Amino acid sequence: MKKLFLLLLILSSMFLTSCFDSKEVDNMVYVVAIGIDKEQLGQYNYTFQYALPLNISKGSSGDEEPLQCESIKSTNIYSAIDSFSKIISKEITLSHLKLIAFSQDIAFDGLEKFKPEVLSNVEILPSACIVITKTDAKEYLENVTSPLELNPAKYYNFAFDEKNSPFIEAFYLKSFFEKSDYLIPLVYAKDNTSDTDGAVLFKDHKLVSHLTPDEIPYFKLLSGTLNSFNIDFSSQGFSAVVTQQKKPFINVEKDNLNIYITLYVTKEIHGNPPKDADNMINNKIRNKCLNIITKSQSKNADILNIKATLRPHFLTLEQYEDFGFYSKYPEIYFDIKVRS
Amino acid sequence: MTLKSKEAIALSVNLICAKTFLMVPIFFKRLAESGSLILVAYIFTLAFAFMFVYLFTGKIKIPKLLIPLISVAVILVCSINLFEYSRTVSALFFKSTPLFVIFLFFAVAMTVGAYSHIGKLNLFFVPIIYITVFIMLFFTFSDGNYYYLFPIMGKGFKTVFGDGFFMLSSLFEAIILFFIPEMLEDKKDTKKVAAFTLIFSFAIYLVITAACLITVHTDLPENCFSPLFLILRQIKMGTYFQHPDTAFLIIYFISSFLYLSGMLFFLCNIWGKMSKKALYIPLALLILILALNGDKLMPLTLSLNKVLWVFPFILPIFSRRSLK
Repeated sequence: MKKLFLLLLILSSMFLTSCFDSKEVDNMVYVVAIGIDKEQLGQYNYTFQYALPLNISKGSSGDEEPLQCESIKSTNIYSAIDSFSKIISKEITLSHLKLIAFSQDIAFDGLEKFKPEVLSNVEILPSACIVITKTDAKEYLENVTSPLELNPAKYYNFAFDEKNSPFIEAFYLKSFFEKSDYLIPLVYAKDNTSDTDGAVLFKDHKLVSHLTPDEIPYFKLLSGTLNSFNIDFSSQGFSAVVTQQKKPFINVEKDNLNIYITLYVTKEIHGNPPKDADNMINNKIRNKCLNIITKSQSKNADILNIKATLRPHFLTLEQYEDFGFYSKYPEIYFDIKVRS
Repeated sequence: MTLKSKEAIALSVNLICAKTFLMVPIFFKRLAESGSLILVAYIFTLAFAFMFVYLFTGKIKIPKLLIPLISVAVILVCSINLFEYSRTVSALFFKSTPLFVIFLFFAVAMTVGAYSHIGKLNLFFVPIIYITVFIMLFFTFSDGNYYYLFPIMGKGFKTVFGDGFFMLSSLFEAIILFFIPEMLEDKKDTKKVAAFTLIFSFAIYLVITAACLITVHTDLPENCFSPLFLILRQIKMGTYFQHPDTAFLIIYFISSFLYLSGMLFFLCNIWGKMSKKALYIPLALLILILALNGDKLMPLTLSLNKVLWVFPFILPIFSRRSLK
């Protein structure tokens, strides 16, 4: 009898509360991207790009686009969402948000203001990508309509998946949480799709420099995120597919401020290579990587997170902070070895 | 109701480790930063050392005078944790559900759990909970930055070993080990239960704190309710399993339900060899009423943390004296 009573109690707690806060798909608006542009008087223009499930379900037979944009001027994202929900008259969910696009004006001023706004929202997944737009973020979102993929959220996953292209160094919201110096893709709309023009370099959340698309594979090689890419030596009549074997090994000499980075790659050479083709490839990789490091040293932006690699050399955090990494970073001697 | 040794290990491991779902690893991190692993090792060594004196060498005889004091402490700790569990579930998952409904759900679940066979429930669910946690944390470790485990002494010797001493309060639930012999089927298993409980709990605390260190490097968000939730959100588990929140919600519910049931069971069983089932509902109601005033209880938590570490110490001391 007691067991029956307990069973009824447990079952009743399950069945009597099942529809209490249920959410119907029809009543929701799924925002897949947010664009943020700078306006006057401390205001920002928030552009919400949201999916239209009915148009998605029509598939390729439908003429209507699967995405729509709505812009709201506001001082912060929360009041913008409130205003947006008032216009749209449905419940807004950010759980499918894949992209947050900032205009370059905001990037120059600094992204730090937006850090608590986007991070404190539990709905936004840390795997959402952050990009900087060459034009206005609103213009970018209005022109990107995911023609290659019916599901717009999936499109952004593909477009900014760094495994798909050596020229994309994706920057996720979770990295925004961890670092103050980083690289973010610079994007623009081209023929209704999103294209990248390298990446922009941030120091203390402020835009300070630019890396060209050609430099991105070398940066990925340094940070250990590269799959493979092609190096062209057309004047010498050959090319090589370079594949990263494993993450680079960083050896730090704390007292002399010397850092030696060893890159592990395999090379597949095509065409008619000269005898010293292997050395030529190694030298090109070494020089290009050193150029990126010099660029980051000139802006005092620790994009390779060298500061973290120094941590095991100290016993307490106090000693580590007293070391004053940023005052020494521009003077650090770097050398790179490429091993096959 | 008596417990088998495996059931007793599962029950006490969950009582000690259920707090890893709440803020405890974050408190470790805030206090000692990268020295958190040393802090965990330090407080477990202290706990183990004092329990060793009692559980491995002395006879089991707890002074009756301490029982009301321990009961009050257990009721307060249980109420505060009921408040924390309900608030976290409400803030993270059931925003539109009134907080009172969640409180009531936990209170009912707590009573039902205590009435049913708590040992079997724990033995079935506890391995599932912590194996799931370890599997999810595997992704963190495979993608984490191990440099953030250093400098190994974090905020320095004084902070880790001086201020860290008071973190022993986070292991308050380990006092169940002093009462476990009364609940065991075979009292000879006491040492085995104590040793395995402390080793498993230490491993769980160490892994979750390490995951917290390598995943959450900088300032913690203000509205952080659960370190495990924070860690799991950082993991991207492929294209098809992007929301580990669901798995977290299930294991969080089960662990908190087992913790509350276990505490209620413990509370009613420390008064004697016989289980006091009649006390379950009144005590659950008392805990619920206190938890409903959780906001007022929160300042008390800080004071309690300064006092709770005393229990694992005074129990061996008083018990040894009683032997003389």
